[in-house]
Amino acid sequence: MTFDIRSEMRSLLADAALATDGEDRTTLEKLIDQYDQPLRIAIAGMIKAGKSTLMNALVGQRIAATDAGECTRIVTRYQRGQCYLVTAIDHSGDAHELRFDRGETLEIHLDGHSESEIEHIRVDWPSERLSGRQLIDTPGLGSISEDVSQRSIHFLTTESDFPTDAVVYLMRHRHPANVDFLEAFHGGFAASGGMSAIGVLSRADELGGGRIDSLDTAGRVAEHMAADPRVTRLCQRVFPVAGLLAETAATLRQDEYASLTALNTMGEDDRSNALLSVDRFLTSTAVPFEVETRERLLARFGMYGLRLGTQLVGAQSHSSAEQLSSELTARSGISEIEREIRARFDARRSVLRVRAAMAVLASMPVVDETDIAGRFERIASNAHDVYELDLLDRLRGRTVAGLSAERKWELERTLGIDGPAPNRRLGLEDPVVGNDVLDSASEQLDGWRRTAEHPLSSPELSHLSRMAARSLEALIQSPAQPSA
Amino acid sequence: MSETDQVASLAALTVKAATAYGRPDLAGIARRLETEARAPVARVAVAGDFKRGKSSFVNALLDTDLCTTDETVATTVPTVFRKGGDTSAVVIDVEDDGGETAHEVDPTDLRSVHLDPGRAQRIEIELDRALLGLGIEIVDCPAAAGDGHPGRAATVATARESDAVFYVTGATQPMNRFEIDLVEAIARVCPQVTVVMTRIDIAPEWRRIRAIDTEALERRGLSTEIVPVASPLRLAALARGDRDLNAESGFARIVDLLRDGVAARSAGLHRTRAARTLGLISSELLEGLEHEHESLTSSEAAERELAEVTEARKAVEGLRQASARWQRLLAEGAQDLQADTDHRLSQLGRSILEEATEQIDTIDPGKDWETFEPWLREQMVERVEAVFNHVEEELLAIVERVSAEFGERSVAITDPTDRAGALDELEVTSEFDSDKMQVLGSGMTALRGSYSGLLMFGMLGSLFGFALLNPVTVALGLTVGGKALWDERSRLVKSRRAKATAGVRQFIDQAMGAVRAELRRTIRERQRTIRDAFLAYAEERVAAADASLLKARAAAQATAQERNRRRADVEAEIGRARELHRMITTQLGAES
Repeated sequence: MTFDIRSEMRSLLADAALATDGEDRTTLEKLIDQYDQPLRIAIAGMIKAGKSTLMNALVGQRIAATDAGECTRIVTRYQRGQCYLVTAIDHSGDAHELRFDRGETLEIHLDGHSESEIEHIRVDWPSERLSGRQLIDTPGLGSISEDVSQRSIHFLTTESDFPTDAVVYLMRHRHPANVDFLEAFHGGFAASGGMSAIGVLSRADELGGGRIDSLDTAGRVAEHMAADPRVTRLCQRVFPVAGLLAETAATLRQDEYASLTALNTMGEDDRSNALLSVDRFLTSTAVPFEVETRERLLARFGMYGLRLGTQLVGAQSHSSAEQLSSELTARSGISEIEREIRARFDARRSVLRVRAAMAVLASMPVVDETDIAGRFERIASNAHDVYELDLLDRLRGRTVAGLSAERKWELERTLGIDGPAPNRRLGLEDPVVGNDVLDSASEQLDGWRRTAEHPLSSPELSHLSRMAARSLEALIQSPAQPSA
Repeated sequence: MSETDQVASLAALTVKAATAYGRPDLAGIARRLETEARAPVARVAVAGDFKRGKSSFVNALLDTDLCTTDETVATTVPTVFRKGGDTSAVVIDVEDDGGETAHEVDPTDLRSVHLDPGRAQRIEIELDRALLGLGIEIVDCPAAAGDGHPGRAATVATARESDAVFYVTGATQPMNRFEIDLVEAIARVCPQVTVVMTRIDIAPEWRRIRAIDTEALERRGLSTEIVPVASPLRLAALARGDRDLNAESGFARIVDLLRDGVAARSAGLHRTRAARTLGLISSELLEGLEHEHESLTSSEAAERELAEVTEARKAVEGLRQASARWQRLLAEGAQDLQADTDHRLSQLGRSILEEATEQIDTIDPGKDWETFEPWLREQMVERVEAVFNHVEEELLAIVERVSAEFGERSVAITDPTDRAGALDELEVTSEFDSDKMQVLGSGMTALRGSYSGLLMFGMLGSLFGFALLNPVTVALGLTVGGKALWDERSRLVKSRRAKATAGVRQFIDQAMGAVRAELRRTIRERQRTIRDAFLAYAEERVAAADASLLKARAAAQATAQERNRRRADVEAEIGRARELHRMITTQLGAES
């Protein structure tokens, strides 16, 4: 009979809650409440990094308001609901239903509630893409108004009633405020730390000045950022994303496709002239649209999207709005983010929850009580997955004596830094065939065992190697997990 | 004749006149004005955060591709563009003895130039561009991010030494808090700041963003102009020779600002100061001649004059003695300043250490060092900068005290009542400083040297790092699970904190030692510069007094006939001096 660590922990939490009272009990009850809830993924970053835009792209609908100013001022949590519903949660945890309009985007009326009294807003939305995960849009850091930024930090890092499981962190460039935040996040969130962040270089289209090759430029910047140890400590890799393009691609309309086609059929000179700058696009007499249409197109595509879209609709393979939509989606980089979220967060939901629960329990006196202590130890001794995360957390951004950078990366990969699926742990291209997995796993297992036994290995290195070997043994025992 | 040539030639004329009339002291001042008038260079710094289009802006402005816009290479030293013939580039390194050496590099491949991190000071590029020919040098500063970023201190230091600053931000997002902070800091040290908003070609809402930025700046009391630009449009316009497109790119306004604002203003500042000083010199020459004319009326008058001049000669002689009161004032002033600075520094070191220790007690140094270290460095740079500012102010006060010892004549040159006039008229505070430094020659340049110390300090901070705190000693017993893990952790954190505190103490000691040495050197050097300048001025004054003494003696011994002949000569001289004064007043618009 296998030991189901997830349900063991659930019942342990329930019993521990009964055995305590006061603050500890409240904490445990909250933990139990959230234990089976969908993963909470926050989208965070500097002000105007494009958080709401990315949110919309991930949901595939324009919900969050996005415009040139600073628009997200209150933490907003989007969850899948049966119907459309907007609720304000105040600092004492009470819920107040709010009125809203569904125009271009969701427009929420605070109706006499002040921003400062609201802890966060919950939006129930009937969307398939919100099943199994909640997305949290947060106000930007580095806001001119310090309060607004503090709200995000508070929500994401303190003992909030709504702990976040993972964060998609948007950066526009390496910036000290980014690093401050990463540190704060890291510290306050250490309990489920290691795996929890995906780095995104946002507004990638603007980095190259909106030129057609802007995303290549962004790719190089992202690689460079990921090489910075300060970034590496929280996110192993950084993915460039053109959020606006992704959002528009996900919600592309037939009339917009038609507009791009009309632009494509303009004379070469007129077209390049009109696409030289936004002011030219808005005023050029050669463009066959009303000013309002031009403004809407700009707001939806941006200069980069217009230049790229106009070029793409000329090609045979993009002869419909659907085809163009999927091409733009592919070029926006959003698919990689989706994939990372699935591979690293969705696939680890149970482990993340068990880990968070262990961290909370370990700090409470109740864990020393005979009954609880025994069961806790039993869970702890079966929690290799959790220790993998602990180890990864501690390995982050440092070197290990006797381990080359390359070998260290292999170690981290084996421990599941890229996600727990077998192909990801083994560094194999997907899809993989069962035998390949077994062959590769045994080979790598031998390697780590040798390192563990080697007389010149330091105690730490031996320990790390044994941990990697254990991860591989587990993999060999149940290699049939799906690739990711 | 251009305006600067006009100033230069009038100054040259004044030099001749003053020499002819036996006033080498006034000739010396006029000669320095002439030299300045011939080479007025306005320095314009271009600053900004990462990825705001700063290098593209400089490239488009100068129609070049020399600035590295490569996304992955962050320039770590300033790049200076100057007028030259063929395009060339040199890297300036600082040597151990404090001197500078230059070595030539390939200007078309700057990104692969190796910069020695401890030594490389700046890259200097010569370009043949009419814009630079206006008498402007453009300094592309390394990117400056938020608090604690070394680029920030370097940017503020460069701004302080510049006549104008272009702060570059992007039109795709409003300025963030760090940017507004930095503009505010720059505006404090350099009054002529313009915000350049790039990328309006791809930002549909740039007008709104500009309004948001304007409001954010106004809330800090900054009425900085924001100029919207599109670098690609400027390059396209230059390629096609398209005037309209150039105007559309926004660079026309930038060039106007450089030409009419910066270059003309800088020349204008110099002109106003030169006009005032030359006016004073010529009227003083005139007064001297009239005085001589007066003394030639009778032998009694001549005797009286001789007595006066002899007395004046004695007084002036005192000025060049080592025992002169001004020498003592200067030496004591510098000594007091030295002691005061040492005191401030040790206090500063203590208070930083206290605050740092407090901070360390709340963090885990093994993890949080990357954020702690910049904080520490920022704290130090900020406070050390304040000490440097204090030293500058005190030195200026000393100069004022010393120049008061030189009596009314030199006060006429550094007249405090003139300052308000200068301020109201010119609305530029830096002028105030250069006015006071007049006796020392080219005002601001005397001030500029000392800030290399601050820049050096900015780099020093990054040298130390925190190698001793590498958290290799992380716990091994990770699999123990449960509480043991937490206890072990907190024990380790404690030991790391202790190590960190010791490391920080050592770091502060070393840094403060370096700063102290740098400040000592600065004060000593500045004391020497001031002394030499005033000593030279004293010599000139003595020579002038000798000349008048000779004249007065000749007048006293002369016969009535000789006196009359001499009087006729002087009358003619007075006519010429009046003419010089009239030229200066009418051509340069100086007040009499």
